[in-house]
Amino acid sequence: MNSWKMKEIIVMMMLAVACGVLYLGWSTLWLPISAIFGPVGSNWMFGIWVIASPLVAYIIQKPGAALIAEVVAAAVELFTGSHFGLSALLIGLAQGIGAEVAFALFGYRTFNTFTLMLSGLFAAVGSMVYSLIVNGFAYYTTTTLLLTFSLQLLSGALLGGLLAKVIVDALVKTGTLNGYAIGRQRKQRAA
Amino acid sequence: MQENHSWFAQINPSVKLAALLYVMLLLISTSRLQVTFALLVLAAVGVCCSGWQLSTLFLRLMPYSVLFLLTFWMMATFGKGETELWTFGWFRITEESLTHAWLVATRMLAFVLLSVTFVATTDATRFVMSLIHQCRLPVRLAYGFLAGLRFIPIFRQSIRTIRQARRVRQQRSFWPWQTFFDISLPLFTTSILRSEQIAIAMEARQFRVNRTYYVEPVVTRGDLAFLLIIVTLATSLRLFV
Repeated sequence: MNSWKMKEIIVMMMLAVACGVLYLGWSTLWLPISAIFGPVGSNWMFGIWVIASPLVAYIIQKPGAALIAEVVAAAVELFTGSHFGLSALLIGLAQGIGAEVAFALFGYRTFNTFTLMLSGLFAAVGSMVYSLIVNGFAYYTTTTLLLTFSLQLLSGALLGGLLAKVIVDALVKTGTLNGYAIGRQRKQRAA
Repeated sequence: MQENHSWFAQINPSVKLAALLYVMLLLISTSRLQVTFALLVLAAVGVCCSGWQLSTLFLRLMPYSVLFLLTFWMMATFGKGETELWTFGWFRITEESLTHAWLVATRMLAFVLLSVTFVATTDATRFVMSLIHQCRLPVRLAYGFLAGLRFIPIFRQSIRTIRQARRVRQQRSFWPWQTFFDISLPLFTTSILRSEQIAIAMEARQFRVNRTYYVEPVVTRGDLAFLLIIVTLATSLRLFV
């Protein structure tokens, strides 16, 4: 933790909290859809809930960023007094660990489209393990289960990883990220 | 999260969190409906002790009955099972899926009640302070998080403003992730700029890891007694019901 600059910590926290607030809005979108179309028809939306990890890790590029970001984003639900509070914290932890593993595999050196999508994918895996154990996903019919999972994996990689990449690249263009790892990397490449 | 004057609010937040998480783990570990129901009753007792009047409690918990039905419905209609009871379109209810639906929905409800107990009786700042002292959360992370927390209402307001601005200009995107991109980009840009200002302000005021505290949260004997009671009670419910 000592190698972190104060502004890196704050930017991680602020972005994670902003993601958490966006998650809240996304949840209200999800509820009616899930009731009608079930776990299969609604799980394409899943990826947005894991976007905090790849997003923040791509900007900061330090060990732990992915895990902390997802847990903090999940904690927003607890701190706004939401009904899912404590369970959101647990699922956030599961997703965060998954996302962190993807970057750890590459020694925290490679942050490109592939690792970002992998991190979204692994976050989906973490979330699935949680759902299997806690939310009784094991009781769904095999077809429902397989469809749900493949959809979650796909959504985690695309809406989580790829969208995070697109958003951060757009943020870099605005110049606000010049003081962070991702901005410095761009500058070096340009020079 | 806000504190009230109930007895629950006096307990050290970290201890309270540990006790509630323990009950949640027990809930996860069982697949028997009776045990889940017994732990649900325990959680319900917890909520009743959280210092709300019954009428407020009833109003606050009403939305969760919808959630209960939703979870129940999802598991009942999409769950696996042999003995078919009712089918309509792609919905299919079986005897087994009904049993599982009861289990999962009851567990979900117990989680909700435990969360409400925690949220209703815990002050956010006190909770984070207790995490620093009892759980050794790094100080810089904790204060960064506290700074972020203050921005939740501000972020909500700016999301509302961005959406209104989009509506005025009649900007509509077909895909939901385009909407997400359009809303999140200005939100993230301003939050990055703000976080830079916060970091500079904190460093300018000599924010350091080695610091003194006006109030240091401690674990009292009462807290330990509470933890012990909850753990014994929940464990015996888990084992003997």
